[in-house]
Amino acid sequence: TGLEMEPLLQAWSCFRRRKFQLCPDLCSQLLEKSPGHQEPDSEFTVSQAAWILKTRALTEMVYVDEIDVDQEGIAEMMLDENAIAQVARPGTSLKLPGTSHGGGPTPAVRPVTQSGRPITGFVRPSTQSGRPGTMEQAIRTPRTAHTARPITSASGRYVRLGTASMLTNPEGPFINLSRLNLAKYAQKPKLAKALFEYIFHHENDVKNVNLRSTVAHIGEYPFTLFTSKSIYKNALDLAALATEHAQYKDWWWKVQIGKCYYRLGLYREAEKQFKSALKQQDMVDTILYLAKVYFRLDQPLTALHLFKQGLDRFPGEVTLLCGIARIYEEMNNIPLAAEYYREVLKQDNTHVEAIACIGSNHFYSDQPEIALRFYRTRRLLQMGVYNCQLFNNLGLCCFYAQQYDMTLTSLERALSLAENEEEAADVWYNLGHVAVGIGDLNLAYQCFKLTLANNNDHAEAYNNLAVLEMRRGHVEQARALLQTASSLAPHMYEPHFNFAALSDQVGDLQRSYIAAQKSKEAFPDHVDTQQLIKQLKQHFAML
Amino acid sequence: MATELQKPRPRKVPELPILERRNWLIHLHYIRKDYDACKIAIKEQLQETQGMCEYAVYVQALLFRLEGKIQESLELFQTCSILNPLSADNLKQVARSLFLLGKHKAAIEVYNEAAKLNQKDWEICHNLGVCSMYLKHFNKAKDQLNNALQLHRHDLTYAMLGKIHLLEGDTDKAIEVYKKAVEFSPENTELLTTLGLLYLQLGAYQKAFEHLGNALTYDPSNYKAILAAGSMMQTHGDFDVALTKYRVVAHTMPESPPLWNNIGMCFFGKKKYVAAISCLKRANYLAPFDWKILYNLGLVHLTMQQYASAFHFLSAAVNFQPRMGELYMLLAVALTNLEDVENAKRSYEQAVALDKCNPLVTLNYAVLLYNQGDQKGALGQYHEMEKRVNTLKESSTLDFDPEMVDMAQKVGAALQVGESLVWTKPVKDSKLKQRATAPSKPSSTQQPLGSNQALGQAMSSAAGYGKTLQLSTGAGASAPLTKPPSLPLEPEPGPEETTSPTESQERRREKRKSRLATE
Amino acid sequence: MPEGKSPLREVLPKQGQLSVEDVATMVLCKPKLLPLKSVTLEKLEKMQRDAQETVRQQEMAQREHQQQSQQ
Repeated sequence: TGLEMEPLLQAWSCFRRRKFQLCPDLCSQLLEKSPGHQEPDSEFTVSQAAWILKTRALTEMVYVDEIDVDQEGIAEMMLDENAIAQVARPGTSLKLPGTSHGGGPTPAVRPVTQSGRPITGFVRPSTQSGRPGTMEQAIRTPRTAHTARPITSASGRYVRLGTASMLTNPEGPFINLSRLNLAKYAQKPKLAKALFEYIFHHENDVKNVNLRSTVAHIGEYPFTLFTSKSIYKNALDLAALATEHAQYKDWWWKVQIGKCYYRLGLYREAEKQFKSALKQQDMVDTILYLAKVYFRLDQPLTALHLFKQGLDRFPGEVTLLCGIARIYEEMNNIPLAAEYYREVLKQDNTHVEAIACIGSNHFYSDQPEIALRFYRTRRLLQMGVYNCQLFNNLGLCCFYAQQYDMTLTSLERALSLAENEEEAADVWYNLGHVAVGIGDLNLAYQCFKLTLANNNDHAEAYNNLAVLEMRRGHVEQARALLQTASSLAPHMYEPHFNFAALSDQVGDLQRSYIAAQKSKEAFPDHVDTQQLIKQLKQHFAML
Repeated sequence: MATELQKPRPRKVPELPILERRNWLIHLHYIRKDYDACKIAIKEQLQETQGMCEYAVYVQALLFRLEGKIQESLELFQTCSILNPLSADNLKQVARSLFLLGKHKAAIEVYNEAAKLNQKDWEICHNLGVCSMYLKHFNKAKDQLNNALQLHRHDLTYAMLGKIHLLEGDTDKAIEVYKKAVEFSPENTELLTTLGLLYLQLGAYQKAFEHLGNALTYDPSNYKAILAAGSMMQTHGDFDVALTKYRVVAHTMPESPPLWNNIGMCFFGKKKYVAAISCLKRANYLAPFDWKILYNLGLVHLTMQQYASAFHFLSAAVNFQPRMGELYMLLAVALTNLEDVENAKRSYEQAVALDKCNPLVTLNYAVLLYNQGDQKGALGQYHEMEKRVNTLKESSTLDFDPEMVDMAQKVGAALQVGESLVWTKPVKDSKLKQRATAPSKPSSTQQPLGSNQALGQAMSSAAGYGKTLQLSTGAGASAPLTKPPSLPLEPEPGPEETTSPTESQERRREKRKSRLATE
Repeated sequence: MPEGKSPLREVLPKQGQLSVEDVATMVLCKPKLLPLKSVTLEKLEKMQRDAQETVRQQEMAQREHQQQSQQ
């Protein structure tokens, strides 16, 4: 091979082939050869090109779809000035899920998260549904996160804050923002755009970021306490200059400014930018960004309206349909969410989110056979979904659909694919259910114990162990287990109700009453709880 | 309030009326359930009297109890006792608080103290009985409750006494107690339903129906009564009527496993197997330990010839209910059809050993043995079956499943036992299928199909009676109730059989008339 | 063995087990379907793991360096 590719071309080829590690290295070599490699000037087009390429490659390495990402630090959550007052009309706020619309499965059938909503079939790094109501809840969230939302929704922030550059530039930041002349860059659109994306996704404004100092540890989990807003100021400055340079006619810069405002928590300003951009250039992505703003402002109906209008202009657009479905799900309107997910599937039958959500709806509506069809679809495997969650779900669906031969192999595979102990714990927990289903209570007991061995905070396992202990007549053990369960997961009605029933049985009516009230709070429509409270009140009312 | 009046008056003459008035106010607010106003008045009173006003403290304690703050109320009642040590009532309240906190021993002690001050207090006796019950001193409890009844009859006391008999496993005595209770308080749906359920347990269907029906007249949507009554209707083949009843309650009890179980079996009775399985699986999801649901799932799947699934459900059921012969029989059927003859035989052996009454078990075993070429074994089982049939015919007359009769005759013929003497009556109308243990009329007075409908109708009109309760003693409205249902059910064993239906219905009519008159 | 006759089959009961009363019992928490993760989430989690690994290695390197300089 005598022909050697032109180095820039080589670097470009790497980029195209998504070899994001190799590309920047090649570019660096190029840049070293030219003077002033940190600050490309208009005369050196090769180094400009190399600079842009390297910038973009580094960005790609840590790029995540911005639309999908929605993260906050605790303090922001708590000090959110945009938090809407508690009194919103039912059905108009995301914070008040209210009762489920028209017959979705109740908590007696389908587990709920700490916000009182049923667990979904799909999880994104978004915080809305997991938003804790109080500071105490917020701090406790990481430990019980597994029933509510994934760890990374909180720690994604942790990743971004300074670590991105750690991954891409262990030696030190490639671009030193404090030495950049932003005004100059603003005048060169191509450079400006690459630079903007780099800043936005790297957030390495802070020099020598020491992870531990910017991140607090609560329990075992890192938790960002605040967003470093100054990071976005730089990006914003650049964008402001650039958009001015473009005489406010470049919709792309408006969107970027909107994104900066969004990250800075200035949602109304963000809204203005996105709307303006939309007027200039109707883009689905812009619609999606704008919807996120409405989401943050707790205006789900406005977001819905926006999406539906968007569908007029972009009929059948999957991301819009999906957006609508998500909003309905957040508003706890499972039937409508399901309808829109079905629309999504009509357009794109490989859509993992839709498949997962519809599948889980079917499972919890007594249709495990249909759920099985969804989870078993070859599409999921084709899309590269081959993980613990999928096989766990397959196993459960098989069992309840009476395909017993597949049940254990699927669950075994789920165990082998578990990436951490929490995932393994959940699989053991479900194995416990299978054991109950075949009537082998000893095996069930072992499985629930194994659940706890993997995850000492698994509230459901504590509860179920308590039930098994009661069957064996071990009242004291059951009581202790239930107390643990209810303190770990106060939003779950089962431990409260069980504790109330147990206390009632031994005649401790005060404790029974208190626990029954908690059960009612978690699940107001639970008939057995209502009856227990009625009985207890009768006891209290008698003179 | 009385204690205030007894205090010497000299210096506080002008204030006393205010205190009295405020006590009256507290009392009024409490009676009217204006608890907020009540609390305000109490606070004022306590400020005025520096916490020494017994009545105010007393009512505050009551309020705490209503709110479920038993510990606080206990402390206040104790204060009352200190303020007025001669009041039996205060001691009773202290004791009751202890009881509500589950401190039964301590409660008994305080009740005994109270008894010293007031010997003939039925409440003290009653509560002593209840505390003893929790401590499992059943004999003591029974004595005390009986004492209470002698002093003053009360629904609750009867209910407690009945409960103790049940805890001891003495169903007959329990029934006696509940009967007296129902006599005393004929409109108490709780008592009526409990009694009805007990009769149902004993197989005394007429009495069961009577009491359940009554309960439904006073409370047409009474879940317990509907569940029990519905199951009776199903037993008699009235699936549609049962379904209508169940649908009413299903709205208020959307996740009740027994309800879904029964609904599923209604569909089974109507041969709608897919619907049956849906309902049963839902019931099973909600109540995975319930062996009956698993039994039914097994049965339905056997009927649908889905033997692997049937096996799954039946083996689970056996884990929860290991001593039920019929389950092993069903399991054996599944195994037979899954071609596991050895285990099928073992299962039948187990079934026959555990269930010595049901002829179906031995018949099916005979079938298996015959098909496997074991004539001798088959014959043995066949004879066993004959024995069981005879025993059943002697103790009560019943209809056998015609399919069973038919198969038995075939087996007999195949084994060449000659003309079977067992089956003396002609094959019954196919609608009148009964479980082997359910007693019913002999064939000679075969009940017309209509009478089953009469049961359903009677139940329906009984359930609908509640709506027309406002009518005065109109003949039309009350007619369905005053006559006992015209069910030709076999009278159950019991001394008071013949006279009581008319007697008690007379009494009921009187009571109803007087009640309606006073409204 | 039967010859030319209809085969002998088992007879199934026609009535099942009915529930006559509802005894309130304790409730189990229900089986959990695990939510599938989005691509974004997977990537974030991977990045987190990588970052944690990098930090760990850095710390180890630091420690070794310190130990060496002390010797």
